[in-house]
Amino acid sequence: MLEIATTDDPRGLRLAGEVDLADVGDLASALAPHIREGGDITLDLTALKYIGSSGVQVLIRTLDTLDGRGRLVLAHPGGSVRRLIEVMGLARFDNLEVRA
Amino acid sequence: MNGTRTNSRTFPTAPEVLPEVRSFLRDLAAAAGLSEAVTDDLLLAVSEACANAVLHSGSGEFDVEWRDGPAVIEVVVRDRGTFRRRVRLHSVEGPGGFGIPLMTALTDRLEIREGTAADPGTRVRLTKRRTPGAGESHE
Repeated sequence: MLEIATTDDPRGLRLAGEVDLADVGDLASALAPHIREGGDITLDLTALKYIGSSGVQVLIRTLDTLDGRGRLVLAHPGGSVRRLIEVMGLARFDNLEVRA
Repeated sequence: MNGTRTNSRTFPTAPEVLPEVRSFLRDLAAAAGLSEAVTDDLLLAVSEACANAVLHSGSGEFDVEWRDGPAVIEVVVRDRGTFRRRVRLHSVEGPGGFGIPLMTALTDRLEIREGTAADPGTRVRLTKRRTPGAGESHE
């Protein structure tokens, strides 16, 4: 179960709960207008408990589509979310920033 | 018995059950006294195995079996379907195919017995040490 709220400052989304197979469609839809607009997108992950590789695929597609028009900022990941970001080596993307 | 405890549950292959699988395993991990880091790795890895069963096995249900031994935890995910052998071409299909590499990275040992049309049922066995071994670090 994923809860998504829009944030204005910084511009982006606040995610709470879990991003699993059943939730990736909602996440992609919520990101779509921000990706179209371009510019940096901040995802506040403070209250996110879980994300799997299906959710990471959505993030990677976002990075590919933004390509030079903005960065994706992953803010305050904890526990297993931080671990997955580490193991996937997402920091290798030039336009991704992980903010503790 | 040598202190080994086994626990097993069967789930339908529906995306909605994956959080239930994690909550089932989280309770077992807590009862086994596993650290948060070991629990996180195991839950992430098993979730990927279960997601594959849901997405790719073409079968109606899968079992998750937990074996809690003195040195290692073993989790076996068993579906009723066939294993799709393929190499993902990212430039054609987009990003993906991260499940098996992730399972390898997050566990100490990964074994996959591929279900075939003649002998269906893919079995993924994930083994994790209760405590990280010497020289191993989770940076």
